[in-house]
Amino acid sequence: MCRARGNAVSEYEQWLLDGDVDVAIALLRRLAGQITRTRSFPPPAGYVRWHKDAVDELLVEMIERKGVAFLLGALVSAIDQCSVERYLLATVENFLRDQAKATPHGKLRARLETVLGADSRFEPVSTPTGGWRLAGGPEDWWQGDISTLERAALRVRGVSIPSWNKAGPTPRVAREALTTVAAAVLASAGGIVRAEGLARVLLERFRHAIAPETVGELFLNDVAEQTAPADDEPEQVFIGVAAQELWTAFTPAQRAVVPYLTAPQDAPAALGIGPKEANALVAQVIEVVRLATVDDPRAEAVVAALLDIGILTPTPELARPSRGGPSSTEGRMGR
Amino acid sequence: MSGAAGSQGERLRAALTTASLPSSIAGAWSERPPRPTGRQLWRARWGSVTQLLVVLDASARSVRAAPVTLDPELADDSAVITYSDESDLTVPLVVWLQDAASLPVRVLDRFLGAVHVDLRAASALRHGRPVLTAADERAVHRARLQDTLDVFVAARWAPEGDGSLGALLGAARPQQIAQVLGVPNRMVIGLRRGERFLSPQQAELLAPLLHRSAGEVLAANPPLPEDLVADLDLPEYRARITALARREGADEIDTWRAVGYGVAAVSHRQTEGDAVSWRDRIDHYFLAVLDG
Repeated sequence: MCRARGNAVSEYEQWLLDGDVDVAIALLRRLAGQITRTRSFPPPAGYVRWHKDAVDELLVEMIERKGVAFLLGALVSAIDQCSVERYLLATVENFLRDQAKATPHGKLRARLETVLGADSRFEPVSTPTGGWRLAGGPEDWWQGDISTLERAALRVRGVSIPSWNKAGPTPRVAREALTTVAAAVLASAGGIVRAEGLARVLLERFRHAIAPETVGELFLNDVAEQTAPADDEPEQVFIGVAAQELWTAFTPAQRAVVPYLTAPQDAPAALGIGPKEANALVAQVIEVVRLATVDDPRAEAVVAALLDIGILTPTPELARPSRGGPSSTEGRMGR
Repeated sequence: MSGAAGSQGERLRAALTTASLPSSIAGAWSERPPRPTGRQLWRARWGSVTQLLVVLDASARSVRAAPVTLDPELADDSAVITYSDESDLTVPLVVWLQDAASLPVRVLDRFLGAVHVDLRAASALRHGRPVLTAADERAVHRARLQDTLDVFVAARWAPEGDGSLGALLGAARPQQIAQVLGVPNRMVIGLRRGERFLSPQQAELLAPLLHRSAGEVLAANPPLPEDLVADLDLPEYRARITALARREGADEIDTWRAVGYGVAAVSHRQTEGDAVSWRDRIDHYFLAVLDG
């Protein structure tokens, strides 16, 4: 993937050390184009597809938003051409993922107007800004730490969103899950919560179901092929579909760790990551699965099906930087 | 928007021209790095593992340092967030104070500037949001940082040195050894007593005579003096070792060891065992092999 050039001056050295903007443009366009060609992120507003100007627009937005931190990050990771390309690929993809997060947040806020608006337990407030409170509840605006409300949302058990539609009427189970958690959040707030804040709390609570494409921070760019459910019986088909939905929502790192859920001690060596990251990834996947299958009598079968998918799907080692001692030396940056 | 052919390219050029690295790090790849001290920002590197760090305290051989990241959105409540004008890097820094660890000086690779705020007064600084569930990606992010610090904590280049050189040299006659190495017999006696070191070049010469590999002969040396290892750990010498390794297309650790034994061997020849100033010896060594 990366263009190692032996002892020749690398693109990244010409860019970061010599400030050669032409080299930077060529490098960034090549790597951003690689992401936009192979991923399903939508192009920027005003573009219908990822052509050259759309890629440039993406890069301008990213550089203007991230500014110097973008260059510093490149500098910290820069050991050779390959390490810089890994950093840039991950940065572009994470930026696209951040951009995508804004969309489901706005959409959920709009959808709550319909869902909560049709439920007599909730009362909309419009001045000085949009908000929600429990019907007949206190009229004070809640002004605390948003994490308090996120905590209240996470305490609600027994609800899940097994399927989510991007448009059209909200499915009954999803509607019940949203209203149940919204009621708990508003009760915890004891007042009016801004519509934006409530949407954010609910999105975080159900992000893996509502906006799986926005989950996770990528460190590298490896996407495994998706597998299709292979079961025949109707019940088995349902379980297979549920497992497949979870699998689809997982990040590459989460997918990679699935085969090791039952033997997490083997994950670090097999995946080329550190033991603490492996433990955190295992805990993350277990929590995501638990949140998605809580109170579902088929939960164990779904997890078993998920393990089958993970084991049968080849996933590459997570190409983190080598964890051994110094071996190769830097390029010119090793001066 | 898409109809403005070329305009996006010009905007991209303008954005890249405007975004420039802070002046504090202009010399990070060309100037002699300073001695590590508190509030400094460094890039740490061991192998291909890199991480931005802030030094909280420094002693001669180790530093207590915390990892630093650049995206405040990924901070949790264990981390403090500085403002842009509170460091030379001119961007908000996420300092993971609770994950600070004692690290060997040898992992400090590039000096990047300083922090201007007292990080010990953490209660007065901004914190990130708490992680409430294991599903939160920030939990994985922090775990990855902790793994990275563990790599630095374990970073070693100096061999243990099994001190078996005397026994190994016993397989050949002293006169033969002296002849192969081109040294006086008394130096061979010193080697057999474990009072002297073989350089990598001497190990190469002796390997056929002893029917061992050069690496095995070199590994039979006594452990390198701790003060020599501590001096070679300093960033200013690491930079020169990195440069030497690159010039010779060699492994960085192998180069570090070769320099260590090279300096130790030369030093004993020159001083006959008296107390030595390692820094002078190291400077002379580099003058000969790198600058010469």
